[in-house]
Amino acid sequence: MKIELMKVVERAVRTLPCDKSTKLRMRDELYAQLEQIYEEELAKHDDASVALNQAKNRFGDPATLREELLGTISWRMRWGSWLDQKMLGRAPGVSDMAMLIGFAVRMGMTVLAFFVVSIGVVAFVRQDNVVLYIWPVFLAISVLLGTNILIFAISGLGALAALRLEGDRVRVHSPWRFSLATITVGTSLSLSFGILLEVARKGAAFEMSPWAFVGAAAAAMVLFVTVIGLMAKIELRDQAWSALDLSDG
Amino acid sequence: MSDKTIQGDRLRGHLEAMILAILEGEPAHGFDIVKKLQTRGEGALQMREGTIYPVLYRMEASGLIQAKWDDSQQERKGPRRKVYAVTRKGQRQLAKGRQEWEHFVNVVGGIIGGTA
Repeated sequence: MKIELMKVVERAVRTLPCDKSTKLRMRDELYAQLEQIYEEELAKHDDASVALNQAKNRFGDPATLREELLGTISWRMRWGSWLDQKMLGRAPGVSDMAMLIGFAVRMGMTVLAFFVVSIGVVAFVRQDNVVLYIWPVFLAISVLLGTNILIFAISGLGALAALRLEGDRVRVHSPWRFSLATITVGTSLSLSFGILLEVARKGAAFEMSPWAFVGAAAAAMVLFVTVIGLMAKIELRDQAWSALDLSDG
Repeated sequence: MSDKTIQGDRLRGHLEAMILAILEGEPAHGFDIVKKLQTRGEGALQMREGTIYPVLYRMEASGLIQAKWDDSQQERKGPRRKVYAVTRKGQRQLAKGRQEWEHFVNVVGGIIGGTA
């Protein structure tokens, strides 16, 4: 694909408040349209820069097109996009890693706050302080949740980096990296399971059959590979567009 | 620019009906729709070609047309395209649009002194 044509399309689409598959559809269709216009102009003028300018002119101003495309996005999709941005903390200039750390901390803190309030309410309503003694479990759940979200997300980025889009197919180009990411996820969940058991009751993790930990790890790995497999094509295609530098006018 | 061209709001007001009329014959891609509009309009219709897609998306959301990925052109390089076809609702809308247009031409044409 021609980078200059991609940039024209991306200027119209990038900031639209909609999901990635909707954006990809728009990018595909607009690019195909622009490319055909460009080919026509190139056949007429036999000069790439003249053809590019003519194609841009015929295609229309990206800012105007963006406004018109914005009008086609439903309120439900806009709200979903806003929520996604707020929850994940996506913002221009924020790196993936900073975004993930922020998200994991926020999720852990939210769950912790929920437990603190719940325990307080139960203790107040029932006038029974015994519920206060289980706070270490809730603290462990919150910390482990935040930690696992972070580990899963980093592993997800690692797994995606191990994949490559060839035409319309996703291929694993770095099997060791993909395996490492998958094993990390399984180990993390299995360890968390053990820690939670130990926090709940000392020695409980050691009384448990090792197969329970293997099962937890296997389930997490299968789920991880499935989710990565489902989102890989969209993510990789989106990356190709999102990585375009639009700062040069 | 020639004053015989039709563009902007004058074009936008009738664009949906014209697209339905184009698609009535056979399904088409966005690029083909623009080409057919320009051919049938004998060059008088002036539009930025990218702006056809917001209109198509709105019509699709309203159920007037339906889109599906075109898998018939596997040998074609570049991204996939959607091919658009008119739905039953779109056909009814087109018939209604034609009646309204005929009525409009009769009334307004009669007053202005056109063909009616």
